[in-house]
Amino acid sequence: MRVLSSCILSLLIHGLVFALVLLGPFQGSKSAIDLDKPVYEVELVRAPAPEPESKPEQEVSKGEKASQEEPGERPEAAKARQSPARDSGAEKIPRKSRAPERERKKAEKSADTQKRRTREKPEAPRTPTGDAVLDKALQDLQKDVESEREQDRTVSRELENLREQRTAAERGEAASAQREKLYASLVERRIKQNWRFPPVGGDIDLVAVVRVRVEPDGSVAEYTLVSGSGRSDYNDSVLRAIEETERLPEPPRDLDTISITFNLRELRR
Amino acid sequence: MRFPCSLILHAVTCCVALMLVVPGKAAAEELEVSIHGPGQQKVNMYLAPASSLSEENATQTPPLAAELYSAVEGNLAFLPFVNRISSEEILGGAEVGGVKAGDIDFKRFAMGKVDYLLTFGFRRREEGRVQAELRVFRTRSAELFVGRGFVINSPKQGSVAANRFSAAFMEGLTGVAGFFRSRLAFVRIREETRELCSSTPQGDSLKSHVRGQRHIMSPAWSWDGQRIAYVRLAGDRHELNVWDEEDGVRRMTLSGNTIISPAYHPDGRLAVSADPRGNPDIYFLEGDKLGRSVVQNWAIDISPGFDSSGRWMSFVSSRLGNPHIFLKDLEKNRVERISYEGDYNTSAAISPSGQYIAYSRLTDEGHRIFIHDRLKDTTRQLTHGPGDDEDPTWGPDEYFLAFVSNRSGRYRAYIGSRHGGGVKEVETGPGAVKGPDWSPELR
Amino acid sequence: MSKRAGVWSIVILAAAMLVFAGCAQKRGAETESVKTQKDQAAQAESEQQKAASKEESAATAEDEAEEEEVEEYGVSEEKAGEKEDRATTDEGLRDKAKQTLKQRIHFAFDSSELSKEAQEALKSKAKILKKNSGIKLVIEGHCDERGTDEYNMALGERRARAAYEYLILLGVDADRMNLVSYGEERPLVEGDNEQAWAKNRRDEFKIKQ
Repeated sequence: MRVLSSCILSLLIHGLVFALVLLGPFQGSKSAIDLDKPVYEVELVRAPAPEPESKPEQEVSKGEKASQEEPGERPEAAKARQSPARDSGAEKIPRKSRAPERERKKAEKSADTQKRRTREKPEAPRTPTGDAVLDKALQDLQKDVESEREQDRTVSRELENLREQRTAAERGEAASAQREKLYASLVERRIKQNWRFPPVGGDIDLVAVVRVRVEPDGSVAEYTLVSGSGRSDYNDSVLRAIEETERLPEPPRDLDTISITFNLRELRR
Repeated sequence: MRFPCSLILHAVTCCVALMLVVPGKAAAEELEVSIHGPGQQKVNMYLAPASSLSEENATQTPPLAAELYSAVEGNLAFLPFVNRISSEEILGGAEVGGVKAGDIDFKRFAMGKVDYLLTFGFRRREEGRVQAELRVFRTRSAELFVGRGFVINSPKQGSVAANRFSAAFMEGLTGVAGFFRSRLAFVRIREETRELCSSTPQGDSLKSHVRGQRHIMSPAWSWDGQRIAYVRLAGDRHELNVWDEEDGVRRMTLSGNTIISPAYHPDGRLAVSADPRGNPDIYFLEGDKLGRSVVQNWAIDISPGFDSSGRWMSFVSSRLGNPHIFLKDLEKNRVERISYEGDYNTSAAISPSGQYIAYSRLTDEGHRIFIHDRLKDTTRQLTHGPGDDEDPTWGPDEYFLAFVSNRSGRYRAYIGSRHGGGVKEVETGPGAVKGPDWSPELR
Repeated sequence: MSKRAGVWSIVILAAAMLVFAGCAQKRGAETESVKTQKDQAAQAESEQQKAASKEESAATAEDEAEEEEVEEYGVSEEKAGEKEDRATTDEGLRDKAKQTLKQRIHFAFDSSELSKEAQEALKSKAKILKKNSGIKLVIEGHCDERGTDEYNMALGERRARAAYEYLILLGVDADRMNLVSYGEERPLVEGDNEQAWAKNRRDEFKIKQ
């Protein structure tokens, strides 16, 4: 009897321990990613670096030829824009077109003054040759590369800032949550690109859910239709979208399953 | 005494073991992603060439069958959401073994990103008739999506068959088929005379209902597709005319001097803009005379349009000094302003469900069609000229719109989707086109 | 010197003769009809005087006999030629009146306001209409091609009504006038420019038969 009761007791304790350990951690980390604003906030982090900062550098490196031509061009362009408005003859229209022209002129003026300030540096001799054009093209390319690097730098800077702000434990969680959000938006975008379906009239919404298992290199290992929409052509289209997205970006280290919900209707802004 | 110790030790090691295992498992949770709306609102389709149904390998397609095939091709070309795939785009070739599912290797097409495959089979019949079978398959599941057979004896019958098949296909895809089951009414202008005409939205089956008129304008379909009301300028007065499919033309003179923009309410009443009080107001007719006014004030109020419930009426009013678009809730007797930008907004047209109001705004570059979405409360520019784009009218599916534009040098009718794509001219023959009105779905 | 003067006098005489000969033909020529009117008046007067003087001489003869005050009155007689002249003058007047009535008035873009010229033209029309109570008028309102068909129909109505109401203000009976809008359906001139458009923004006045 003693053996039996001790067996039962040990089973109970095991069961309790297992249950606590297995279910407990899940309470906190089940994250239903909401692709509304929070995700778009993440996207803002990846927005290009603000231009005014880089502009003065560009102005100086361009060569004075370019910046001198533009102020000359603009008043003429503005004049050209004005005369068609007068010729149109319609009384109410000139009122409208004059307003945007005033704004344009203001923008031109401020750009001009900015340029004049930067021109204080010594001028380089101007020789309009093919080489100069090539150089300019190369410089533009360099700028693009630099701005992209800037973007990456900004992203990593932001991530670092986030990391610095939190405590060790929090940092770990926040970073992984951030990474997951980023990854979710990348997955959403890539699959959406490959999803084709004709415009359906009326207010009906169709929803289908597909579970996808992703390899560490991002390739789709397997996928299953978890819940259908009731329409086979719709189900076909969502499975097609995944089939044609052969490869997803590399998932974060501890992620291998994605559950994708396909909603027919666009979000109402 | 050993019992509890061993138990506790056992439990602890289990816990430790679980701790090591579980974090891995806890991390292997599911990432949830939500997608709202397809990236492309279209389907890819391949049209296999016509082939013989009978055993003898007929290399020549009989003309009736060829015309039916090209009519279906033309119909599908009008649908901006059908993207036709050419045979070169299909790896491994686009050879289709036959017209039925059993003869076709769908995998090749599915691999080539083709969503729908059309096959066309024909057979010669007695007395010059031709039998045609059209099948559309979903390549991924190798299932038949739409299938129809026809026996035709003339090109006219072929065109009817093509429309019926296209309507069935479109209905299967989108749930609505109005485009292929409706007609466009319009005024055609040739030299000094005008005619009241109608045709399919693609320009086929053109009929001239009223000929030899000096000045007629603003045709408006009744909701059962049986009648078209229009305005006639006769000598020194205006006349409201109604052409009836069976009864011919009925003429009405109304009090006041001017009759503008007739429109039918879903309950059968005819609304019109008339000026018995010295300036154009909107009235409902009672019998052949003006009845109750719907909108009445010192300003110009014209161009009424109704949604299919009959509750909402879009119209144009100059009550703010210059013409703008307004919406009246006929149930609650309330008027709401719709257009805010621009100085000259006219030609209001409310869609059948009431969700969209299309209109024409005069911009610096000319008149442009705009669409206001009442649900999302957004206004979007639909057309970009050049020239002037005017007189929008909604198709019964609410997906297509027709309008006139002088972008080619003179006014012609055009069809486009609500999203702005797929603008195509409606071939209506010689003469300029004005005042289009799209019928409801006809049976 | 005298030769030249002689030549000149012949020339002048010839010219005068031509003028008088031309005056005999008066068909719808306004200035000529005015001239002939004056000539008429002059002729009539001179004939009156002649007749009067004839009477006078007769009267004075009688006077010597009666020694009373003589009742004197003028006598004039219409020549056959004179009748013709008056008829053509009336026609000339009628044509002029018709022209005034038919004269178009023009408007600014998207407006039905009557300009100063338009008001003056309407005043002249009103005068004629009041003098000739039998004339009925149809006022047509027109627009240029810009703008949309239906709204232009309403604007044309406004333009016609502006003229209509002004004429009523000037005393013309409302029953004698009809108004109809043609919107942009009947342009006067074709053209994609402001000159053409300005010509098309108008009211036309048609005399109703």
